[in-house]
Parts: sequence; structure tokens; C-alpha cells
Amino acid sequence: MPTLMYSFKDLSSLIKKKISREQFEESLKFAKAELERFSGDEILVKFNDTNQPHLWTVEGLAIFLQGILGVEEGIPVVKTSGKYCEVRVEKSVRGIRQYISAFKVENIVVTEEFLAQLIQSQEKICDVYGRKREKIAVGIYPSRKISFPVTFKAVQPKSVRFTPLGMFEDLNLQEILDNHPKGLEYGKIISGFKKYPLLVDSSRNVLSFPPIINSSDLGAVEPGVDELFFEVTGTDHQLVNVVSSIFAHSFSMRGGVIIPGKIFFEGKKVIAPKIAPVSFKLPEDVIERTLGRSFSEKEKKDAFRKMRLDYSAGKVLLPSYRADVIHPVDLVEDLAISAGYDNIKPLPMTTYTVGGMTPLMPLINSLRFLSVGAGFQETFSQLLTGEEIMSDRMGCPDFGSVKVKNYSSANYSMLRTWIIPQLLEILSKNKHNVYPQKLFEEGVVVVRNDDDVKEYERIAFASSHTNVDFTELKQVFDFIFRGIGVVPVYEECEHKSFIQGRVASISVNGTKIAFIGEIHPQVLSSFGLELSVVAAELNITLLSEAMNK
Amino acid sequence: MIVRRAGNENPWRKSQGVAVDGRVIMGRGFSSDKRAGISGVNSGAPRGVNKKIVEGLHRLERAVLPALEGQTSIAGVVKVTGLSSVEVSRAVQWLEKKGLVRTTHESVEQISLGKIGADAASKGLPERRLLNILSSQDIPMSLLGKKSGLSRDEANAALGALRFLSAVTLKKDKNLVLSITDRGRTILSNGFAEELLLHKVFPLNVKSLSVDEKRVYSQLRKRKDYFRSDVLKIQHVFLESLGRDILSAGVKDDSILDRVTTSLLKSRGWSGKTFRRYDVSAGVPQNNFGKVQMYRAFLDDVRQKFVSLGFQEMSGPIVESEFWNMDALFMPQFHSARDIHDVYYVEFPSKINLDQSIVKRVKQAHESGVDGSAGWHYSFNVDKTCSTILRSQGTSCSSRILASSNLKIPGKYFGITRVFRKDVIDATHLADFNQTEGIVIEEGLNMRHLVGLLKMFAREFAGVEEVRIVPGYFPFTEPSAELFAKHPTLGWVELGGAGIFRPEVVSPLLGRNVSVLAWGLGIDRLGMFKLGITDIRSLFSQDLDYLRNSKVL
Repeated sequence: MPTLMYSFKDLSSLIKKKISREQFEESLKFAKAELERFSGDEILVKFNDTNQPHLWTVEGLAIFLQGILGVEEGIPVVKTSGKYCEVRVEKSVRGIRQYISAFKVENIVVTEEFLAQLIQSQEKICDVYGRKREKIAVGIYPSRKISFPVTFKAVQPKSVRFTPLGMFEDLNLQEILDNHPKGLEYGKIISGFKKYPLLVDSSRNVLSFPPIINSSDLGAVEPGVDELFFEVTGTDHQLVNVVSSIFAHSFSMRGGVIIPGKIFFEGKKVIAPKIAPVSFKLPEDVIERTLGRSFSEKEKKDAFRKMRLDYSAGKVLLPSYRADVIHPVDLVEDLAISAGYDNIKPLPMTTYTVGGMTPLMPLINSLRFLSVGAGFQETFSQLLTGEEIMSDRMGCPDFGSVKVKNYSSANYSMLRTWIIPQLLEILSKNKHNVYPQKLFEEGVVVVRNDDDVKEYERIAFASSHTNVDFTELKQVFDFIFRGIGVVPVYEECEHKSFIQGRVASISVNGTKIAFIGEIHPQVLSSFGLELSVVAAELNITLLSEAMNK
Repeated sequence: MIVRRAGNENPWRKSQGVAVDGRVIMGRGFSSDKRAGISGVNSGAPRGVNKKIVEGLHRLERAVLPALEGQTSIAGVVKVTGLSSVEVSRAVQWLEKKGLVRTTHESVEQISLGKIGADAASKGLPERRLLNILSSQDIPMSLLGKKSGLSRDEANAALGALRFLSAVTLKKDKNLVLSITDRGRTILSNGFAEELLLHKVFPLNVKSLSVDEKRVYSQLRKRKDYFRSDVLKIQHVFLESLGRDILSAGVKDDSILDRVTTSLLKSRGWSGKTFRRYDVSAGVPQNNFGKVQMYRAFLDDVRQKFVSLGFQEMSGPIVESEFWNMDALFMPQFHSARDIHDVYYVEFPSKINLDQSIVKRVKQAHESGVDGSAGWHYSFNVDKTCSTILRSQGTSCSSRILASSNLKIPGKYFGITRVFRKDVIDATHLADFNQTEGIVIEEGLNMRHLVGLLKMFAREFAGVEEVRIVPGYFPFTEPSAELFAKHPTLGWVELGGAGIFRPEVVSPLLGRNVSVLAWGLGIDRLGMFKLGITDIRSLFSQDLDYLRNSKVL
């Protein structure tokens, strides 16, 4: 979810209406956006819809808010001239980064504020919508330095040298990937190809090395510039056109006149940017089915125009940047937003349905109920934990764990395989508190055997005080088993975390469902515990199966 | 459902004293107005009140009160009653609280003999030992130490004292020679004033010394290790007039019973008698019993509430495929929320087997769309969809139930699910937390039903009537909405998100498009409000003191 910073004065002057902070905050809801901060002239806005990048430029947001505030409605107009600039695309870019849209902007005044906004929008759009420049990347240049036509081609990495922005010497393309900060950041997008994309002008001067970096000669925009060249390259044709349209609308909003690009590729000629509105059918029944009410033709037209769209005879007209509409329900949402969610009249649900819990829940709750009765305090832990607690300190092997690849802390790198270690951890953090300390916890553990992952509901107990012993906890277990009508069989077993000869496995109807024992002194000392602990853990999932045998 | 104990009104309140046999020894800070109330009883108390007091007297109080007629010290009462001093102290505290006695505290300097002092008391003062030798022979100064058997310090001190008393003289012959005077012989037979003090019985109170003894003491105490002095706090207990009234009425009453014992019950010995009255308002020491964890108790309530509203609980695996968690929910594979920075990817098994027929339908929905949709226009990666992750949203349970043969239409479903997202852990973020999600599926449901449902949730789960439903965005719902509720102090607070599942979600999983209202509530946040918690980590607190004192209602 992108967050953008604007000057409220700049935004207001683009909207062409003085609005209050409250009005602004309220109208942002129509853009599915939230005001994060408003301090002085500086505003911070978070956009929740990741498919509406046209709102991520201050000009695009202004266009939208003009509709909501009744300043201007319907499809926004882009001023274009009858002139053209030429871009030639060579076959060599095919398969590497073959899509490009480009145009010139005249009659524009690049102020510091506009430039800052331009850089912010470009970064957010390329980062979030363009998947970190992989799908699209944008370049903007002071066009008076460029001799047209511009050529987009792919070249051998070491065949071309130029000075990239931010550096003072000529580097070849490979050197840029290996040394320039942007090369290191985005290099992996193209490093797998034999040739790298390049934009050059007719004097063979390099404009940029998309999607990495502009040249410092032709690609440095400074305040005061009055003509711009804009290009967007990418691997997704639709996204390239959407982003091109977004920026054409931005420049136009700032008073610029678009000089369209004639893009020549494999014998075809395309005019950029694509700004002709797109029409989308909106069947009446979808509206009624979704919103539970009907709209008159006029209501629809007014509502859509307010959202900077248009409507006529069952068809909605969309500006070319609205690529997020892929189903009529997307238009229905625009209609609902425009009409106001506050105005939706709620209906109750009248159909009778039977409620219920998951099948294991009654057994889980009986066990918890009995544990509380036995004097135990319930705890509730995180399922993410680490090997240190689960096995190292417990003096036992990993029972087969599910580990995450991309963890940031080893303490949150795997799902718990049992609960007792977490109870010991809690005991270790409460040595200053009143004893006896009797804990239990019910919850999921995850155990893996090769590719087979099992998630079990388990309940674990730990009791610690001066005179605690095996008998005490066995009495608790006996009490609990009586309470659920189960006859357990105890057998001595081996478990490295417990004292040998003082640990038992418990079976019900031939299935091992629990173990109980006195924790080994070595384990106690690894947790810094100074009092004896008896502990037990019961597998509720297996117990339930065994009970139904 | 677990039965829960109601907590104290103020869970952090500590008991105000230590109870003994149902009574309480009050600690410091006990409210003084309570004492005032009792002394009010003291002045002109009606007989009925006295009777009540007598009935409330403990066995120890009954023993101590009469003893106070002749004693004012605890030690004295101990001697008379044969009780232990701890028992007497307790009884005095209870009696004082009731206004029957008054206590004063006195600081007393008590002295006892030090090691050298005790030595001097038994072997004689060094000056006596020196004088004894001198009475039979003169001693050259050079041989003073050797002949007297005193240490250098003792010998010097003794010599100084004897010269001060003119008991010895120094004659200059060849050497300096020490000899006894007549006055010295008189002192030797009459004895030293210091010895009288040393032979007294220790420890003794400084105040009991005579003027002369005090003078001698102040001289002797300058010598190293002759005396030890301690300041003692001595308590004196005096009967108040109420205490005298009660005493004269008689406290040795056999008709007052204490414990209900088996023999008492068997003999019906309680018949016609009164039981000692307790101070029922007295605090008792804190004890800890079995208790459910407060946040689990809250989730139990939430579960119960959903069931009562006709919702069936659903569940699903934590170790989940990208397919059920995202692809089945029409989140494009290039969606930013699927980033390695947001979702935990599992090492082994890195892939999960899936029903390929459902995968195929979902793939089609993504690539070219279904049911009037244009799709996302990209090449769906069947390998990626099998990748194993830790469930990042409970909605994965909703996508599973839609594809399940157990699905009932119409149906209402909910899940209380543990979900995992990569995040920096702080007071408002956990990487491992709970969500409540669910769906309502029925032909003909629309946004108006969704708004009705959300308002009901706000009412039922947060007790809020004032809500706002504003446009929202979720990849799997269209239209999408967010639910805000007016919190009494925090203002508008987001409770959750909702929407109508996109046809691209429902059709591939169910085989046709039916209205599905989907919603998720931020249950951790609701729990924090309910439990009065500001740090989300407290929901999983490892502090036993906190857990023992927390409210579970």
C-alpha cells in the first residue's frame, strides 16, 4: 500500500478549489485512501487499492478529487498537439524489454515542487505497480537536448559507455550493473540477457539504460526546464500504456501540451500515449444483484461522471489509465462509492442456519475445564519459535519441524513442535513470582516427517515448586482422564528431556497419546530454573481418534 | 465453554494485611478513618456494641486482655499468659484495632559487656592486676609489660588510670621504677568503682544507672570493646476505658465458640451458644488458583457468539499452499502482498500437492478470466501456486470451504485463525497473530445485507451502535468495504474489512457464481479493547503475575 507525501497548497491549486482539512479527509475515502498525517502544508496519504496507480500522482489525485468535490466531472481531457516525435524500436529488444511508450511535453513549467512530485510518483509507480521496475520503468528527460528520432535497442553490455546519473565517469553497461547503486538494485531484471536495453538519440548520445539509470548528459531534469521527453519501457504492454497515460494526464494537469510519440516497431506504427477512453459494458442486472437497488440512467451517468468516468446506454467509458476494471462488478463498486456507502440501506439476514464449532472443540474445552479445576493457570503462546528453545535447551533432537526460509530472527524461525519448552520458558521468566507455579497451554503444534506435515491440537502441563514430583502430575492426569472417561496405560519410556526412569508414555486404546515426567536437571539449568519441574504433554487429536476406536 | 472465575474489581489490589485464623494483622497504610470509627465506639459505646465486641474476641485476645491489668510489656504478658510473644503481639494488634488497648513505643538504650569488658569483669581490671603486683614489689618501667602480664595498651591504660588516682608513683633511680602509694593500698582493699559497674547483671537499661554509675560508664565505654550498646524499641500496652469495660463484663465466656469441629457437631455443643464474630471486611492474603488465559477466554466468547448467530466454525492448515492462501482468492501472482517481505515461505516441504482440476480453473480465472471477467492477463505459474507458506490470512479457510463438498448453501461460516506475516514486532505488530474471518453464502445476498451484517458485528462484538462503512480494497472482494466504529476515547477505530467475493473467486471454486459476503475482523485489536491492553504482545503475556491478576470477563 503506497504512501505519498504532498503539499496541500499544491494539491488545492491543482484541484482549483479551496477545501478544508475535513472535506479533504472525507473525500479521500472515495479514493480508498486514508490521511496519515497533516502537519503544516505537508500531507501524507496512504492508498489502499494497489491497482489504482493513477491516484499516486498529485495531479491524478487532484483529477479524481475534482470529481468528488464537483469542480470538474467526466473523463479528464489531455491537451495534445498535432506534432509528433519519433521513437524507433529495434528488433533486438524483443524478449528482453520490448514495450515502450514515449512522448514529448511542451509548454510545461518544471518547478521544484513539481519535480519532487514527479520523482515521488515515478518511484512509487515503478516500485509498487511495476514490481520494482521489472514490469515497467520510467525515464524523464529535458527534451531540448535530445535530437530525434530516439532509438530503443538492445546492445552488447560492454559495447556502449556513458556517464550515468550520480557518477562522473563513463562506464559500460556491465560496469554500471556491477558498480552503480541502481545497477546493484535493479540489475537482476536484465542481467540474465546477452544484450541490455538502451535508449539513444539520433546523435548517438545515450538517453538512458532502462530500467537501470539515465545518462547524466541527457537525463538530468532540473527546475526551470520547459520541455520534457517521457518514456516508459517494460515487459507488460498493458502496464506500459497505463503508466504512459497516467503521466500524460499529470503533465496535462500541470498545463503541458503532449506531443505524441510515433513508435515504430517491426514495421508497425503506434501513437503514444493511448488516451482514448475505453468502453466497458455494464449490465443492469449486475448492479441490482450486487447493490440491491436499481439506478436510473441519469443517476448512473451522474454517479460515474463524479468518479471521472462517463456512462451512456449500458456502457461505462473509462479513461485509458483505468486498467483495474476487469469485470462489471468493478464498475458497480465505483457506482456504489459514488452514490455513497453511507446511503446503503442495511438489510437483515433472515435465513436460518445452524451454528457449530469444529469437531475437536468440545474435547479441547473439556480438557481445559478440567485443567483449570486442577489448579493450573492457562497460558497462550506464539506458535513461531526457535530451535534453541525447542531442542537445544531441551537436550533433545528436533522432532521434525517446519522452518521458514525467510525468517528475520532465529527466535521466530520455526513452528513449535511441542509446547512444554514454551512452558519452561515462561517458568524461567517468573522465578520472582509466587510458587507453586502450575501452567497449562492448549494449542496447535506442527510436526513434519519428510514431506508429511501434521498439525495437532495438544495440551501441555508444567508444575514447579519445592516439593513437586511425578506423583502430583500423575494425579492431575488421572483426574483429567477420569473426567473424560478414558483409561490410560502408563509405560516407562525414554525421553532425553526427562530424568531416566521418571518418564512415562501414556496410551489409550493402544495409541500413544501423551508423555509425562520429571524434567532433567540439565534442562532445568539450561532454562536457569532452580526448582524441580514435572511436565506432561497430551495429543488431543490422537486422543480423540483413540477414543473413537 | 470454560467456566471462569470473576476477577477482583481491581486486579492489582494486594491484600492489606496477613490473615491469622480469619483475622488480619493490618499492615501499614490501613485507612485511619476505620480507626476513628472504632474510637467512636470507645466513647459512650452502647452495651449492644460491647456485646458484639466480646463475641468477636479471639481466643488469644481473651487470654491477653486480662493479663494487661497488671502488665504493660509484651514480655510481661508472655510470662503471665504462657503464650508465645508472636501470639501476644498479634492479639495486641487486633485489640488495638478495636480500640480496647492503646500502645506506645519507647526507645531504650540497652548495654551489655563486650569481650574485653567481660574479661575484666571476671579477671579483674588491668589496674587491679597491676596494683596487685606492685603491692609486693616495685617494677622497673622497662619490665612493665613482662612483669604485669598485660598487653602494651592495657598496661598503658592501667598506668594512666592509677597515676590519675595517685595510686602509684614513679621514682627515678638508675632507671624509672614504679611503686605503689598508700592511697594505692587503700584503693586495692576498698575496690574500684568500675568493678561495681562491671559486676552488674547485663544487659541493662542505661536509664537504670545511678549518677555515679553513669559517670563511670561514660569513662569505661571509651575503652575498646568494654561495652556494646543497642537501641531497643519497647512496646507498652495500656488498657483503654473500652477495654476495661469489656474486662469488667467478663471475657472468659464459654458460650463463645471458635471453630466448627466434628466433635462440636457430634455433641451439638453449638446449641445455645454464639460463634466468635469475624471481621468480615478484613482483607485476606492473595492466593492463586486455576484460571483460563484472559485472551483465550475472550476468543472463547467470540466463538460462542458466532455459534449463537448461526455460524459454523471452519478450520484449515497453518502450513498452507500459496494456492489456497492467495491464488484461489484471485490475488495475482505478481501482487505486492505476496512478496517475500510479507509472507513466510517454508523450507521443507517447499511444495504442496494440489487438486489439479481446481488449479486449472483458478489458472484460467487469472489468465483470461471467468464469468464475464477479463482476467489478469499474465502467465499463471502452476509451480509457484504449490509453494508452501505459513498461512498469511484466515481467508484461506474461506477459499477451502468454498471448494469443499461439505459447503452448505445457504451457509454462514467463521474461523478463528492463527496467521503469520513478516513484520517488525512492536506494541502494535506481531508476526504471529489471530484473525477472525468468515463468509455468508446465499443466493441473492447483496451490499445491503453486507452492511446489515457488519452493523450487527459491531453491535455484537464491540458493543458499538455508531459505525461507518467506507470504501476499501481487497483483491478478492468487489465491492470492498471497511468497518469503523466509534470508540469512546480513541475516536473512529477500524474493526475489520469486508466485501462480496469476486466472481473470479467463487466460480472456479464452486463451479458457479453465488453471492458470498466475506468479512474479517481484527480480533486481536478487539481483544485489546476488551481487556484494556495497549501493547499487543500482552495478549501472549509470559508474566505470571499479570496472568494471575488479569480480568477474564
